[in-house]
Amino acid sequence: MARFQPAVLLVGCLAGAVLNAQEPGRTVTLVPLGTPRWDAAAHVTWLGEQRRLQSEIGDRWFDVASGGGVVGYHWTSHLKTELDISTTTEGEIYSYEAVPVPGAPTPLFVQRDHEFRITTVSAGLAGQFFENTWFHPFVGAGIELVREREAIETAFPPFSPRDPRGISLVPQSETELRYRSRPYVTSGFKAYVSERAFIRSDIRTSWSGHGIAALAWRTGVGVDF
Amino acid sequence: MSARIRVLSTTLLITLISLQSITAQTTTEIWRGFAERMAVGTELNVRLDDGHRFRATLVSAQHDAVLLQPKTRIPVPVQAISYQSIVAMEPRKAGHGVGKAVAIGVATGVATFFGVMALLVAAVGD
Repeated sequence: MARFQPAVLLVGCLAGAVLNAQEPGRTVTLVPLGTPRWDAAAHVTWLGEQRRLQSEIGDRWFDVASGGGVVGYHWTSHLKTELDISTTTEGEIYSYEAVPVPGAPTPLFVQRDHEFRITTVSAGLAGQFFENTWFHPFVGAGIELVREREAIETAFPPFSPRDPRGISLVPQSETELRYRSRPYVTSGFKAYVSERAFIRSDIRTSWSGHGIAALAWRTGVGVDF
Repeated sequence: MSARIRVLSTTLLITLISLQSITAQTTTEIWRGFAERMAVGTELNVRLDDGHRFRATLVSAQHDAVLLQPKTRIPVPVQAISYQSIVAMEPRKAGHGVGKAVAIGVATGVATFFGVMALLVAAVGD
């Protein structure tokens, strides 16, 4: 019997530890059953976009107003998937290009007006801090698909009838449609004004091979459901 | 030789169990005494040994657990928290909420102002 004494004590100790771990009240539950798993928000955005024009060295920024909506599904109280759709007003960049004219000593300076309208659909994962509080910071990352429509108006300088180059040009316009995808990271917060309604604000940066491609500051209102 | 090992291991186990029991007993008594001296309705900052930190209102101090109503956005049921799992528990200081409310108000106002200005600049720029 004596040889089993340590084993019996060990089993007793382990059983006690297990019982202790199962004892109710060792932790706290801050998320009630039936907590909404979905949330949705509408937002307005200040969006800065960067473009590299073929005719120029370096990058150009333009800013536009944007609006859209985001829907999220909470897998846990800290992790959720988000789907976002946004579209912008028209942003504008002017560029100047020196076009050599055959036989003329000076080039022709052409002004181009680039008008951009950008629509994005994005999907990503967000990590939300705290549980069931009035203020939830979050960080997130994902991929956005970008549809960009660029309307280019080319204006030629007026020519004097006595200009030896004798060129007569009419303004040209063309439209290009481009699609691409780019990763983004975001950081912001949800501040609740009632149990389910919240104000949401975040800063989001999108990246391309040249570095930061877009910077957005979004503010909106939403609801859990 | 084997008898000596058995005696030593038995003694060691008994000592460990006793120490654990004494520590748990002491923790339980300390927090029970603290909770019993607090007025019902006191707002507390609580930290548990599993890392949870939360604010709660004291509902009742029982023999083996303290009843707390966590202060959450969506209400949760009153919860019995065993004294052994409590690492820290202290009453919240009065007046703390006013400063925080003012700070939140100012921050929200400033953020809204700059947000509206940024949108106006973006819209006019078009």
